[in-house]
Amino acid sequence: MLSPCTIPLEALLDLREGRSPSADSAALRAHLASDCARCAERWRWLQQMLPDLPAALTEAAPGQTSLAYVHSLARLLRPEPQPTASEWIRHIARRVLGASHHMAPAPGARGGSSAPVQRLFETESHLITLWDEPDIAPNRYLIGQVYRRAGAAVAPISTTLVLPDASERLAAREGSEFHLAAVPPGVYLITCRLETAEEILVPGVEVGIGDDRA
Amino acid sequence: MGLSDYQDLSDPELIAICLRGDAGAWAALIARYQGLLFHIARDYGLETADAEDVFQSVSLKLCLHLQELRERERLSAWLAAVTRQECLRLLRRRPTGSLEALREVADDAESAAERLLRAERAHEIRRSLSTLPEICRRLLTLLYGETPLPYAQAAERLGLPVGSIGPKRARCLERLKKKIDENDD
Repeated sequence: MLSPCTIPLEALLDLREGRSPSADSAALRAHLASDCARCAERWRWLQQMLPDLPAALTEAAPGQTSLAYVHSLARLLRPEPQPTASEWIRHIARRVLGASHHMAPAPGARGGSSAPVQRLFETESHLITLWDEPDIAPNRYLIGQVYRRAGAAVAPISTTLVLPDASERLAAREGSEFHLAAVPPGVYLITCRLETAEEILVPGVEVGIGDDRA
Repeated sequence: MGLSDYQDLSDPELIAICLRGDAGAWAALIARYQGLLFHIARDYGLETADAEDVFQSVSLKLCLHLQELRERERLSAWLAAVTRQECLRLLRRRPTGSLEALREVADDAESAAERLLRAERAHEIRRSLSTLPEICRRLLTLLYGETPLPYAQAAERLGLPVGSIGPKRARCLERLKKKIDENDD
């Protein structure tokens, strides 16, 4: 009966890294060319894993502001509690008054508000992401996406930007996204009308406010 | 519970706890995959700030789609694919300067697949590395990181005899292999 191979991983490592004395190297190569399945598997593993090791050891990590934002998303995972009677009253009042909640925008990674930034707004039933990037100064270009809280993206039939003077601008549709070009700095109301006849209202959307170019 | 308390859980187990609204589990899930997301984004040539945007967007999508993920044990593949889409979206949105980068990406679909595979492999190694003793992680970083050091310098940094470095690095890699094999099972 053949005794099991006892060649240590260190010997294979040394061979791969050119640290073996030449006599040992020749013997090891001859061994690898034989039918030793154990060494063949370990040799393959080293050959495949070692080139990936530097990237695995030097992990780039997101900054604390990004991490704080992403960690805050945990609240969206919480199961919806059954509303109490008083909450129902508030819920109905909000619907009648058309008010929506909105989350603080994502902090962005660059600091300056002239740089692109992703923002997240929240209503009772939907989430709206708003990609806010520079257009011809001082204007901004907005790209939005509406999601049901259950997770699926929905394409609004129409999305309107209501300006401070109550005039309206219709957003262009691109797939399930809505696009608004050349939006001057200001505070806006965004309304999204869905196929289900629901209307989502996102008040107080600040665009280019505090922009260092403005 | 701290992040380490979630370390041994599989992805499906961790997702199930996240869906009960456990913020710690969500943080652990993010910690497990933030390296993969960042690695892919940087591999597309994105600067740190853009990589952070991609990280935020993909995390939001993960959060919104967590409940409906069917093959939860294949989370890393799903994240890798979504991250790639987000990188391409970001490159497309740039008004100038990125057309060349986008063209390179489009012309190189095969290498994109290889990049994703490499990023996933690095992620698996990283995940196993995180479970090794600190001395192993430090030693492997010194010997196999971006700027590998000779044994003598690594020994000096760690306060170990030079003669112990070779055998120790082999033992650490042996442990790493065992962890990766366990995760594969």
